[in-house]
Amino acid sequence: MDFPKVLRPGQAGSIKVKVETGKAPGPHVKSVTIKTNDPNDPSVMVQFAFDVKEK
Amino acid sequence: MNSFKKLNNVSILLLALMVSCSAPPENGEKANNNSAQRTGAATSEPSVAQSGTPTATSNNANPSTAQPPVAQPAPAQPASKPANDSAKPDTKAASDSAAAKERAPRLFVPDKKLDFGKQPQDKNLARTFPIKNVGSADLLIESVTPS
Repeated sequence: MDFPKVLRPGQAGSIKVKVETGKAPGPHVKSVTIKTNDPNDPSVMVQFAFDVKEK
Repeated sequence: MNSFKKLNNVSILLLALMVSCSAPPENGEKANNNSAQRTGAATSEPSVAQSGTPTATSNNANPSTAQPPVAQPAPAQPASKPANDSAKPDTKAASDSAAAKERAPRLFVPDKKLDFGKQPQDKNLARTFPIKNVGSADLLIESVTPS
Protein backbone atom coordinates (compact mmCIF):
# COMPACT_ATOMS: atom_id res chain seq x y z
CA MET A 1 0.00 0.00 0.00
CA ASP A 2 1.23 3.43 -0.86
CA PHE A 3 0.47 6.30 1.42
CA PRO A 4 2.09 9.57 2.48
CA LYS A 5 3.85 9.62 5.81
CA VAL A 6 3.07 13.21 6.77
CA LEU A 7 0.29 15.55 5.81
CA ARG A 8 0.60 19.25 6.66
CA PRO A 9 -2.46 21.07 7.98
CA GLY A 10 -4.86 21.41 5.13
CA GLN A 11 -2.87 19.14 2.91
CA ALA A 12 -4.66 16.40 0.94
CA GLY A 13 -3.29 13.03 -0.04
CA SER A 14 -4.36 9.62 -1.17
CA ILE A 15 -3.85 6.03 -0.17
CA LYS A 16 -3.51 3.31 -2.72
CA VAL A 17 -4.73 -0.18 -1.79
CA LYS A 18 -4.67 -3.49 -3.59
CA VAL A 19 -7.47 -6.00 -3.12
CA GLU A 20 -7.64 -9.58 -4.33
CA THR A 21 -11.10 -10.80 -5.19
CA GLY A 22 -10.35 -14.47 -4.60
CA LYS A 23 -12.25 -17.41 -5.94
CA ALA A 24 -15.31 -17.38 -3.78
CA PRO A 25 -18.20 -15.89 -5.70
CA GLY A 26 -20.62 -13.50 -4.12
CA PRO A 27 -20.38 -10.27 -2.18
CA HIS A 28 -17.31 -9.55 -0.13
CA VAL A 29 -16.13 -6.76 2.09
CA LYS A 30 -12.52 -6.09 2.83
CA SER A 31 -11.17 -3.32 5.05
CA VAL A 32 -8.00 -1.57 5.95
CA THR A 33 -7.10 0.30 9.13
CA ILE A 34 -5.33 3.62 8.99
CA LYS A 35 -3.41 4.53 12.13
CA THR A 36 -2.46 8.17 12.63
CA ASN A 37 -1.63 10.62 15.39
CA ASP A 38 -5.14 12.09 15.26
CA PRO A 39 -6.12 12.38 18.93
CA ASN A 40 -9.81 12.28 18.16
CA ASP A 41 -9.70 9.21 15.96
CA PRO A 42 -6.32 7.51 15.93
CA SER A 43 -7.61 4.43 14.03
CA VAL A 44 -9.83 4.78 10.98
CA MET A 45 -11.29 1.84 9.06
CA VAL A 46 -12.02 1.99 5.36
CA GLN A 47 -14.11 -0.79 3.75
CA PHE A 48 -14.07 -2.12 0.16
CA ALA A 49 -17.08 -4.00 -1.11
CA PHE A 50 -17.16 -6.06 -4.30
CA ASP A 51 -19.20 -8.85 -5.79
CA VAL A 52 -17.26 -11.70 -7.29
CA LYS A 53 -18.79 -13.25 -10.35
CA GLU A 54 -18.34 -16.81 -11.30
CA LYS A 55 -16.45 -17.40 -14.48
CA MET B 1 -70.38 114.27 102.34
CA ASN B 2 -71.23 113.68 98.75
CA SER B 3 -67.72 114.51 97.63
CA PHE B 4 -66.37 112.31 100.33
CA LYS B 5 -68.55 109.47 99.07
CA LYS B 6 -67.38 110.09 95.52
CA LEU B 7 -63.80 109.99 96.63
CA ASN B 8 -64.46 106.78 98.45
CA ASN B 9 -66.02 105.30 95.32
CA VAL B 10 -63.07 106.35 93.20
CA SER B 11 -60.64 104.95 95.71
CA ILE B 12 -62.52 101.73 95.83
CA LEU B 13 -62.40 101.48 92.06
CA LEU B 14 -58.71 102.14 92.05
CA LEU B 15 -58.13 99.52 94.64
CA ALA B 16 -60.11 97.01 92.64
CA LEU B 17 -58.04 97.74 89.59
CA MET B 18 -54.85 97.32 91.48
CA VAL B 19 -56.00 94.06 92.92
CA SER B 20 -56.96 92.73 89.52
CA CYS B 21 -53.57 93.59 88.07
CA SER B 22 -51.60 92.04 90.88
CA ALA B 23 -53.65 88.78 90.96
CA PRO B 24 -51.91 85.55 89.87
CA PRO B 25 -52.64 84.44 86.24
CA GLU B 26 -55.48 82.03 85.54
CA ASN B 27 -55.36 78.67 83.48
CA GLY B 28 -56.01 80.36 80.20
CA GLU B 29 -53.15 82.58 80.70
CA LYS B 30 -50.99 79.63 81.61
CA ALA B 31 -51.74 77.94 78.26
CA ASN B 32 -50.97 81.11 76.49
CA ASN B 33 -47.66 81.31 78.28
CA ASN B 34 -46.88 77.68 77.42
CA SER B 35 -47.73 78.27 73.83
CA ALA B 36 -45.51 81.27 73.91
CA GLN B 37 -42.75 79.11 75.30
CA ARG B 38 -43.34 76.54 72.62
CA THR B 39 -43.28 79.15 69.98
CA GLY B 40 -40.23 80.46 71.62
CA ALA B 41 -38.67 77.00 71.41
CA ALA B 42 -39.87 76.74 67.91
CA THR B 43 -38.44 80.05 67.16
CA SER B 44 -35.12 78.51 67.94
CA GLU B 45 -35.93 76.81 64.69
CA PRO B 46 -37.78 79.79 63.35
CA SER B 47 -37.93 79.02 59.69
CA VAL B 48 -39.06 75.51 60.32
CA ALA B 49 -41.91 76.20 62.79
CA GLN B 50 -43.46 79.08 60.99
CA SER B 51 -43.65 77.50 57.59
CA GLY B 52 -45.45 74.43 58.89
CA THR B 53 -44.97 71.96 56.09
CA PRO B 54 -41.27 72.23 56.10
CA THR B 55 -41.33 70.86 59.61
CA ALA B 56 -42.76 67.69 58.27
CA THR B 57 -40.27 67.50 55.49
CA SER B 58 -37.46 68.48 57.73
CA ASN B 59 -38.57 65.97 60.28
CA ASN B 60 -38.81 63.41 57.58
CA ALA B 61 -35.57 64.52 56.13
CA ASN B 62 -33.81 64.41 59.39
CA PRO B 63 -34.75 60.83 60.10
CA SER B 64 -33.83 59.94 56.62
CA THR B 65 -30.52 61.55 56.95
CA ALA B 66 -30.24 60.27 60.47
CA GLN B 67 -30.96 56.74 59.33
CA PRO B 68 -27.96 54.58 59.19
CA PRO B 69 -26.94 53.50 55.77
CA VAL B 70 -28.53 50.37 54.57
CA ALA B 71 -26.25 47.49 54.95
CA GLN B 72 -25.35 46.20 51.58
CA PRO B 73 -24.59 42.63 50.97
CA ALA B 74 -21.01 41.88 51.33
CA PRO B 75 -19.27 41.39 48.08
CA ALA B 76 -18.58 37.91 47.07
CA GLN B 77 -14.94 38.58 46.47
CA PRO B 78 -13.66 36.71 49.48
CA ALA B 79 -15.69 33.70 48.57
CA SER B 80 -14.61 33.91 45.03
CA LYS B 81 -10.99 34.39 45.81
CA PRO B 82 -10.37 30.89 47.09
CA ALA B 83 -12.38 29.53 44.25
CA ASN B 84 -10.27 31.45 41.85
CA ASP B 85 -7.17 30.33 43.60
CA SER B 86 -8.23 26.73 43.49
CA ALA B 87 -9.49 27.03 39.97
CA LYS B 88 -6.36 28.60 38.60
CA PRO B 89 -4.55 25.37 37.90
CA ASP B 90 -7.72 23.84 36.49
CA THR B 91 -8.25 26.75 34.20
CA LYS B 92 -4.63 26.57 33.14
CA ALA B 93 -4.90 22.87 32.49
CA ALA B 94 -8.15 23.36 30.67
CA SER B 95 -6.66 26.11 28.61
CA ASP B 96 -3.64 23.98 27.90
CA SER B 97 -5.78 21.06 26.86
CA ALA B 98 -7.94 23.31 24.77
CA ALA B 99 -4.88 24.71 23.13
CA ALA B 100 -3.57 21.22 22.54
CA LYS B 101 -6.84 20.20 20.99
CA GLU B 102 -6.85 23.24 18.85
CA ARG B 103 -3.35 22.43 17.53
CA ALA B 104 -4.04 18.81 16.67
CA PRO B 105 -4.12 16.94 13.40
CA ARG B 106 -7.32 15.48 12.16
CA LEU B 107 -7.74 12.87 9.47
CA PHE B 108 -10.63 13.27 7.11
CA VAL B 109 -11.67 10.43 4.79
CA PRO B 110 -14.56 11.42 2.53
CA ASP B 111 -15.55 7.89 1.62
CA LYS B 112 -15.00 5.23 4.23
CA LYS B 113 -16.87 2.59 2.20
CA LEU B 114 -15.91 2.01 -1.42
CA ASP B 115 -17.87 -0.23 -3.76
CA PHE B 116 -15.86 -1.99 -6.46
CA GLY B 117 -18.97 -3.47 -8.02
CA LYS B 118 -18.98 -6.78 -9.82
CA GLN B 119 -15.54 -8.28 -10.26
CA PRO B 120 -14.25 -11.50 -11.71
CA GLN B 121 -12.60 -14.18 -9.61
CA ASP B 122 -8.91 -14.11 -8.84
CA LYS B 123 -8.42 -10.54 -9.81
CA ASN B 124 -6.17 -8.01 -8.15
CA LEU B 125 -7.83 -4.69 -7.73
CA ALA B 126 -6.01 -1.45 -7.05
CA ARG B 127 -7.81 1.56 -5.84
CA THR B 128 -6.83 4.91 -4.36
CA PHE B 129 -9.00 6.85 -1.99
CA PRO B 130 -8.43 10.45 -0.94
CA ILE B 131 -7.58 11.66 2.55
CA LYS B 132 -6.98 15.08 4.01
CA ASN B 133 -5.56 16.64 7.15
CA VAL B 134 -8.21 19.09 8.38
CA GLY B 135 -6.44 19.71 11.67
CA SER B 136 -4.00 22.39 12.69
CA ALA B 137 -0.97 20.17 13.16
CA ASP B 138 0.99 17.73 11.03
CA LEU B 139 -0.80 14.44 10.52
CA LEU B 140 1.47 11.44 10.79
CA ILE B 141 0.22 8.28 9.05
CA GLU B 142 1.82 5.49 10.97
CA SER B 143 0.46 2.47 9.10
CA VAL B 144 -2.22 1.20 6.73
CA THR B 145 -2.91 -2.48 7.35
CA PRO B 146 -5.63 -4.86 6.21
CA SER B 147 -8.04 -5.80 8.95
